Amino acid sequence: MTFTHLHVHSSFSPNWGIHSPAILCAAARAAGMTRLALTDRNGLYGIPRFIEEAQKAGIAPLIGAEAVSGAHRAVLLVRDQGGYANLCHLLSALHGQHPFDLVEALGNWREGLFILSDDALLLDRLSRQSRNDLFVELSPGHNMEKTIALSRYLGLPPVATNRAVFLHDEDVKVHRVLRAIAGNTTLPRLSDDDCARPTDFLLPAAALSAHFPHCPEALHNAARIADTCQTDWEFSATIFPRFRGLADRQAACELEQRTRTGALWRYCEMNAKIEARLTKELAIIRDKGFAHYFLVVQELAEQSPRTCGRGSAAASLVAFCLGITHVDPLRYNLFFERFLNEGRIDPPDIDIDFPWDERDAVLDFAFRRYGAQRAAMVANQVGFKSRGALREVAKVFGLPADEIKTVTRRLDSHWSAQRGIEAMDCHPLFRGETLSSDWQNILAIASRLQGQLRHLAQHCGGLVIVPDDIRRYVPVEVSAKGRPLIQWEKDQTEAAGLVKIDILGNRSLAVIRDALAAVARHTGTVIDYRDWQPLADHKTRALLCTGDTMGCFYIESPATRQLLKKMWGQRPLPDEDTLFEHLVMASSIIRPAANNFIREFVARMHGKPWRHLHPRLEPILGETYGLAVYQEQITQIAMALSGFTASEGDKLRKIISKKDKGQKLQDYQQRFISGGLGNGVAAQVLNKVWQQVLSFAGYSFCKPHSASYALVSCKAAWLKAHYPAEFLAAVISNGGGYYTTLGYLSEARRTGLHILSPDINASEHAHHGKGDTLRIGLMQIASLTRQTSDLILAERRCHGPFAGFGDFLLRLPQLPAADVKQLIKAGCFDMLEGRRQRPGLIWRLLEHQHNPAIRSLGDLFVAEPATAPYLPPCDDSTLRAQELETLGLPAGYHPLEPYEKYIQTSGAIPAAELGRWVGRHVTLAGWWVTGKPVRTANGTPMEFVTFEDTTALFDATFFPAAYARFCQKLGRARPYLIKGVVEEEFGVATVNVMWLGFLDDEGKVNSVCRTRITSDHSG
Amino acid sequence: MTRDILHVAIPDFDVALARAVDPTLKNRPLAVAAGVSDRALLHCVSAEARGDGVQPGMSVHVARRCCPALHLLPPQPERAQRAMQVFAELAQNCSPLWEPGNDGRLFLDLTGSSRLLGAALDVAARLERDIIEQLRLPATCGVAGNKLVARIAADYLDRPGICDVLRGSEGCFIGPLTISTLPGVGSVRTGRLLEDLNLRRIEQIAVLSVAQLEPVCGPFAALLHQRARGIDPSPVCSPRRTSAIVEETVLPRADNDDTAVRAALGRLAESCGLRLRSLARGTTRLCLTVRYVDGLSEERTDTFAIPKAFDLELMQAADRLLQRTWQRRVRLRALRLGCDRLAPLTQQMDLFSAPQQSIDETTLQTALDRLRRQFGHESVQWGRNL
Repeated sequence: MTFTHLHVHSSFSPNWGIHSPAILCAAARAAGMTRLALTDRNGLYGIPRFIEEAQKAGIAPLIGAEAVSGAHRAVLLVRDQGGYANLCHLLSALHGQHPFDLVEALGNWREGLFILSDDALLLDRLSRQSRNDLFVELSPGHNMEKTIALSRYLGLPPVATNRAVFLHDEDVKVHRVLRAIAGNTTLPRLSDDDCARPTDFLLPAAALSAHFPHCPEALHNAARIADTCQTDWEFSATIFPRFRGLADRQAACELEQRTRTGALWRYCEMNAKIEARLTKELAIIRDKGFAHYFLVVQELAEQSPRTCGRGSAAASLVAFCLGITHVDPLRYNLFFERFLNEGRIDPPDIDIDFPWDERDAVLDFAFRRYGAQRAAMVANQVGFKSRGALREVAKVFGLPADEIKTVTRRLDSHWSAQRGIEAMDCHPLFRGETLSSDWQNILAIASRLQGQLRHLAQHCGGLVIVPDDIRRYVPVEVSAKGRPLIQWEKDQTEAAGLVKIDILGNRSLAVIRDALAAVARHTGTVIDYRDWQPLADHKTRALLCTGDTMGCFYIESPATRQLLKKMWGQRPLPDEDTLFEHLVMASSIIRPAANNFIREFVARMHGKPWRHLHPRLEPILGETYGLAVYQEQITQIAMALSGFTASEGDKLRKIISKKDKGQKLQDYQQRFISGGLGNGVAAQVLNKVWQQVLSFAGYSFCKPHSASYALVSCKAAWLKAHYPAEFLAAVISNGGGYYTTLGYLSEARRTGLHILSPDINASEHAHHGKGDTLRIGLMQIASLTRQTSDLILAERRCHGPFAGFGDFLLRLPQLPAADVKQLIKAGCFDMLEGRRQRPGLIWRLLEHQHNPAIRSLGDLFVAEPATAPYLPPCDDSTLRAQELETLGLPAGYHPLEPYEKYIQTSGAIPAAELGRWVGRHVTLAGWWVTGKPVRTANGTPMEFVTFEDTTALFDATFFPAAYARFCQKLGRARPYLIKGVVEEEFGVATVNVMWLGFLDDEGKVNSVCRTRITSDHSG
Repeated sequence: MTRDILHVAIPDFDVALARAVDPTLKNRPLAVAAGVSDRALLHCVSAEARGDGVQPGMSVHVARRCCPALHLLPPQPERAQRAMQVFAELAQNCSPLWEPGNDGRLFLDLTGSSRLLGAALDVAARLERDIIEQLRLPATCGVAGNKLVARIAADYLDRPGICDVLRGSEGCFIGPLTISTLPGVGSVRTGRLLEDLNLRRIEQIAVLSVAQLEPVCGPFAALLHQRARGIDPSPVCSPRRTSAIVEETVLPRADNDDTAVRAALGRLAESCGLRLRSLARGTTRLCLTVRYVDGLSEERTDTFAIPKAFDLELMQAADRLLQRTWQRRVRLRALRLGCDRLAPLTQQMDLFSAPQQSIDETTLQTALDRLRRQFGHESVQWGRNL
């Protein structure tokens, strides 16, 4: 019998542990251990990961947890399956029951668990119930003498542990910082009880036994417990939900019946092709026991008439017939094996998008249907990442928020503290600055915070449903919203065999819903969402081909709009199916660092001669011009060239898509090359294909997913082509997408719409588009409460429009003065009273609030109201300032309009004419719309920026030299002056920026120059 | 009766003092900040630095980015105190009725003294000359019929000189100035008045009645109305004497280390104790103000039934107060410990009260005081305060 560490904390002990299970297992293995327990605090947060890593390292894993509640503490080790379920129940109660008594709970759920503790009260009470499996925990540095005395007093056997947290000396400092962050305190104020002891190392058995010369039985007992605990854990069995208590066979019959009904609804008839595909799919679904899962998902999808099934599920004809997805997999040749195949052992994943404001109602339905006992949400395990780590450590060191922000705001969200000071030093945004010694220290510590768990948060839509009790499989906590929340994030949930249904929020579905409702209200045209074929329309196809897709879901980013223009700009309009196929390709090929592929793709589309790298690739890459575009093509390529099976190919796809590839990828590369060589494919070809496949790294999509999204894009494009006012009003009201509200308003203006200011008698809460006008809604007014907005609208509905400001005050005296003032300054009363009256109205409001007696008209003696003073009307600049203050944007004019005369003197050309200046140096005036910082192949930062002037949007590229020089000026709400060379590719003109400045600076300079010149002349 | 009020201001007092001592600092962008840390906040800023966007209250780190050539000076509180003393003595020579203000400012009431001292303008010129001669500091003077306009007149000048406002025309003088010039019109009221009601100049407020102003600024309306018309009846008040004992310190570097902060606080408690014992009095109320590096401050007080004057008991009470006051994690910049509600240190013990100071502690404190009197305050110190 060998000693085993029975009390070990990994980084999954919230705000306590340092090292990941993988590192701990490797360290244990290096120290010659063969078994290791993981006992994270109050949870099994990392158990599936631990089991996987332990198996890899050749370590036998023991499952456990340290339960800490109030003054009580105990280490609980799982002896068998029953003990695991009991531990899950106990930990769920610890997080969910208030008040919670650990001793009492242990009394109820101790079956199958070993209990180790040095808590005298706990041991005493439990020992009266039963002395079995109860041990006194002896750990060096933790009152050993006292604990030995306790063991002798109670007559309970001692067991040796080292409460291991640390592997290296510097871990102690990191642990103290973690504790200070968790306790919202500083390092000097941390007490010893708040932290692990500096002796809590994962010591080799020999080193630890040196601490127990007087109590060798403690070491012996540790080994004995380890021998008894179960170590052959297997989590791979898939746990499916059960649909309405049906047996498997009944569920399969129900599914088949519903699918066939759905097929008739979708196709109006059954043919051999449909029948064959349905039979194949239904057979696989039945054999693998997925029928329940499909029925549950269908029931959820039925909760909203507008959904979008994302992911590989869109390749399933069954899902299409059930109304879960809306793209016809037969028509668009979607590869079913990507979703389900005989060899696939992990559960399939159906993700459904709902309109973002309907998602909570769908989740409520799911919990009503299955109850909190069977259903729970998947967690997000929130740890420390880049800026967050830096911010938290800086707070511990007492730096003020402002100073922290000056550093963190210049770091992008992908910056990692691990890259450290050098990465900051060489970044142009930190040019000319040296980091103080404090910051260097903070960075050094932040760089060691990686992946440590802080707390759980609710995953945006992951739902797990089990047939019996979820608390048998995993401990459940309660989220901030009050929903049950399992302790695992999506990867571990999947690894533990729990099937997840993603119910996600999608703003564009809400946009389409709102726009369709507005269209029905205004024109009486009602469109059936599920049966809508937007690409049959010529105008929609034209809009897509010109890349005029701002506001359209998924295809509105500058890169995608440019790509669409390049693809179709100078070609005749394609037919419906061709355009759809290419749209799907376009939305899949847009990914970081894929510029060369995109260029090659467009060139081939425009007729550049090309050949497949190998004839075997022809059936796979034929539809995508010989380039790998979709995720499933990885699988297919591996199958065709190197003889992979479908499931092996699928594994390769998964590994490539993950960021943490490591050794596995190298193994697969070797298999790919050797398999290919065996099939007679040249090594050179294999290497080229491998490079192309690797370019997917983490950012690829499968064709069914892209097709599903492309259909939503087309519906949005249809609405934009036919009802731009209703569509853009819905886009802005639903929070927009890639661009700011100002960007969408400018787009509306370019589309020919008139933007109307908010009006007390005409505005709704949301923005409102009709005909050629777009009226700004009350929701745009800053700090106006929803309650005020609702009161105004209700009063207007009941008693008609307001006759004037006095009428408004009389009818709605309960409104807060601050809200009414915002309404005045936003121009809501301009139509009734005139904009010159704004100062006077504010005085009347203040006077009205100041003298409430005057309001009660019934009083006999009321004070004479003060005569209204003469207040000068606001000038244009004040009105503009009020508009910016209340609406956050210039509504009635383009932000560049006030600088018109400077633009004229600067010699700037209109952006709409950019195409006429190809190859020449130009000056442009621009307002910043959006930017995308990227890195070149050798890691130098650069940025693609979209500006707009009053005539058009235009894209500008800041190559590394220009970026280094001007990056500190980017992203401001100021008018820019841009100088550069116009470049053209496939008919799309962009500006290669050479110089960037601010137009208002220029204006000052120019006006000073002009004044000086004028005075010189007059002098 | 027409009053003659003179306001004398030394612009950027701390910077001006530094330049008086070291003339090579002239025409350079300067700022006064305590400590050498990047986080130190600027107390006072020269006109050259202000031109580059540097403002008092900014951190050194930010200020250096605005103005890379910024030269930092350490604060010299003793020097400032000496200069203020001389400044006050010069003022006293002109009029017995003078009122000190903050940062190198004071008011003099010269009403009815023209036959004794000469015209107010001459007194101002003389005082300005004396300040230049004796302190080598530039001064701006405002002479008017009341304190309000005199102060506005002094600040109106952007270079040393005298601005004499014709008595009776105070309203006309301040009328065209922006309303933020008026004291009491802070950023909140300025915002409401200027932006919402489109009132920009003082004269636009002056034409409104109190009743019309009341809805806008409530009880302040009458005072604002008065001020907008250039009326200020407040008298020039001689400085009051206070019995409170206050000790403050700026930490050598902003810190959130308890040990360093407690040491600094202990030193303050020692200083307070020494002064209390020299008066043979004890404090029944301790007031601690902590100032954070980001400019925020917190204040807490603690009261005692029995007066305290001994180092140990003051330090313990101050520590307890520090625990209550210092709630944030942000580093501290400065500490201020005040002792007020002084009471005689009575030897009469209450029959039923808690035990008072033991004989040993009294003996120890007496011995320490004797040593310090003989060999200086630094000769013997509590270990925790080192």
